[in-house]
Amino acid sequence: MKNGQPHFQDKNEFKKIYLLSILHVIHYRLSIDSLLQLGLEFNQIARLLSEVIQKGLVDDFEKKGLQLTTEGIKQLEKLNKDIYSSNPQSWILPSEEFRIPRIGIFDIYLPRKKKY
Amino acid sequence: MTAIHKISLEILSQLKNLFIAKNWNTVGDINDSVFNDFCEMLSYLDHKQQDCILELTKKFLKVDFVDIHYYLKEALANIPKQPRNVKKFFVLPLLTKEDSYKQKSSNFLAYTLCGREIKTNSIIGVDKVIFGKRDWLKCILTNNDWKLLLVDDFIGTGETADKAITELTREIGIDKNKIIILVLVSQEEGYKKLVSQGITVVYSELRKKGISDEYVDPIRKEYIDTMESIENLLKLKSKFYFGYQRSEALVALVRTPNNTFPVFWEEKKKNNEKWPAPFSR
Repeated sequence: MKNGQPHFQDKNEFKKIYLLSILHVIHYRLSIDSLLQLGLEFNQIARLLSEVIQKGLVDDFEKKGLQLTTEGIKQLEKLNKDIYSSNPQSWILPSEEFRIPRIGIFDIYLPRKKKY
Repeated sequence: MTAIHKISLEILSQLKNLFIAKNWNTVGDINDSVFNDFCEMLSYLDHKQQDCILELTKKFLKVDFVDIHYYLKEALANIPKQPRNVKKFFVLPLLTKEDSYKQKSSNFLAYTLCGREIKTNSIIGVDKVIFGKRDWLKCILTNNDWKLLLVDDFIGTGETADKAITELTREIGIDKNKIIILVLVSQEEGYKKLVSQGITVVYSELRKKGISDEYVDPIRKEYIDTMESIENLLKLKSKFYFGYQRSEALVALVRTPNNTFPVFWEEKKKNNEKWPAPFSR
């Protein structure tokens, strides 16, 4: 794992988190920083955008710009519940770069040493 | 340090749609890096500057390596029908003497014409096409059954072509009406300059100045001011403001001409940091 890059359980979650993030950015009109922080490049964000438009989750209006469709809003809520079940209504998503891999209950976790 | 304004998803979406409309969207090839650099470049610009660049990009012409054959064919088709006494075309790259030992796109284009295309082109209708060296020119002067075809990919101000032709006419004694210049793309300014001297110029695409000729006031003035504010971020010699000799070109060929607005090709900011030019030279 690259330092600072997100780590995910499996490929599906990897995909889901991208989808959730882009729907989130569009719905709350946020900056694309969160997508870049996931490690995506601009061309990958463009492809992701094409994908959500193609799936009918987002409309690209000439004047109003990008907006979630009813289906898109449903999908956003579903993904939020799936991925962040403890806080599905939040408009701030946890930062993936600080998520730690799942460990067993008897494993000892030592956080990375912080520089002061 | 240059302020980072970041791009919104809306701007990224507009750029994506522009790339698709211009057919620059081939997945997984070099255009991905062009797109990434383009987005990064836009991140250094404010909203007004971003809008100006996106608007100008709508008029941008990008001729890729794979497009050259099409453009060449188009330009060839524009060669006027020759009088019956013209039996030969002598093909040379359009180069000044000073550049004749350099690797230039004109060498590549002249070589491309070695193929059957030019020989079988009925519009030209000449019997023989000769690809040779500049030194051979004196030998063919004895007859009057030939024309000299000078080939290049781009004419900007017309300065280089003018210099090359002056050298040929002065040193070898070729008459200007024996010369045809064939280019893929030409700026209107350079084209007019050469045509006014009695030289035949054929092209596939003729381009106007990106701002001055394409917009009227007050938008023209607004874009000029905005472009000046963008160029203030870059490390530029004054001769390159708005492209070499203010050509205002919006063209990228295999190598981007310096006549194009430098925001698209200059790789350094004023403080020597990297500028993410999408069509760097």
